[in-house]
Amino acid sequence: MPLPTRWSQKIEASDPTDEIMELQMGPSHPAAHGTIKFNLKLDGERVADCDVEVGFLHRAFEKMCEQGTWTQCFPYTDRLNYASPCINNVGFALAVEKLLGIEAPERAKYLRVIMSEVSRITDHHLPWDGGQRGRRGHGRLSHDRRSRDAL
Amino acid sequence: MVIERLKEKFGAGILQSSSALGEDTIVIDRAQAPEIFRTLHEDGDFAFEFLIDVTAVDWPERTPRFDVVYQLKSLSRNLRLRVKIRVGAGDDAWVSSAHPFWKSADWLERECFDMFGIQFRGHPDLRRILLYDTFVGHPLRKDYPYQKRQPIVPEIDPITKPLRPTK
Repeated sequence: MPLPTRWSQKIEASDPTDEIMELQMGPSHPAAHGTIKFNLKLDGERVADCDVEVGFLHRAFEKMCEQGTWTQCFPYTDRLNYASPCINNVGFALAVEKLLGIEAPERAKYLRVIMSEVSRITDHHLPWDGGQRGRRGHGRLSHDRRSRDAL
Repeated sequence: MVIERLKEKFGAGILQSSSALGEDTIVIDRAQAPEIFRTLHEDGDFAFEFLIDVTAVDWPERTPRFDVVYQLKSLSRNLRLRVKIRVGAGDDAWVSSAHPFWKSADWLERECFDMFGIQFRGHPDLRRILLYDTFVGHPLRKDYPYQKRQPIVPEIDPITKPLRPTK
């Protein structure tokens, strides 16, 4: 695998008797939330360079959304941000309504705002060890009600 | 309004423009793209400081096969603009990089290259970002089958080929 051009540049350690240590802070790491890989070049404790490798959470949503109708895209937009599912659903529903030229009823608009704000709260309170406070329950209930209102 | 002023400045460089559903779109010529981007970024009238996304659309039956789409936003003037460039397939799939003007184009163009195979000339470090380096093909093209699996570690079915002998 060829090294990226920027990564191949030589970095000098601050102390001439030392050398740079290359370390990979791999995709699953207790200090990093989510799957992301940092290729680090360390000079003692100082990070001299960092090449970030992303894509471990790439789930091919765009390709899969092309394979069905627009109603089948809602499970994918749900999972774009697993902590606040409703907000991305609302975004997609707004885009579809704009293209169809329809407007959602008043009650649906209120419900969308309420559920988006609840999602925002749960997102900001993301616990490390899995959902408490009925986070999953809130998500499912709102999805059904909102899509029924929109349609 | 943005479109009228751009047409005055660039005339022939803007091949098509439309303004539907409250969104402005222009289709520009690839050769004039760097000038147009410089004007959009630096000119005080437009001031598009924010490059939101660089993506592409694959039209397999059309002759310039790809549409490279740039979504721009001006925070100071509250404007949005979509800029499209039509490129063909194979050797013709290149555009000039927008990296000199918007630094976010670094990763956005890497993603577009990864998924569609469009070369961005002048990009500082064009390599795959979401997929692994030895991946073959460009998945978001319409001729890439969506069920194709290309695991970097070969998959073994544990039912037909169990790892340990079952008693």
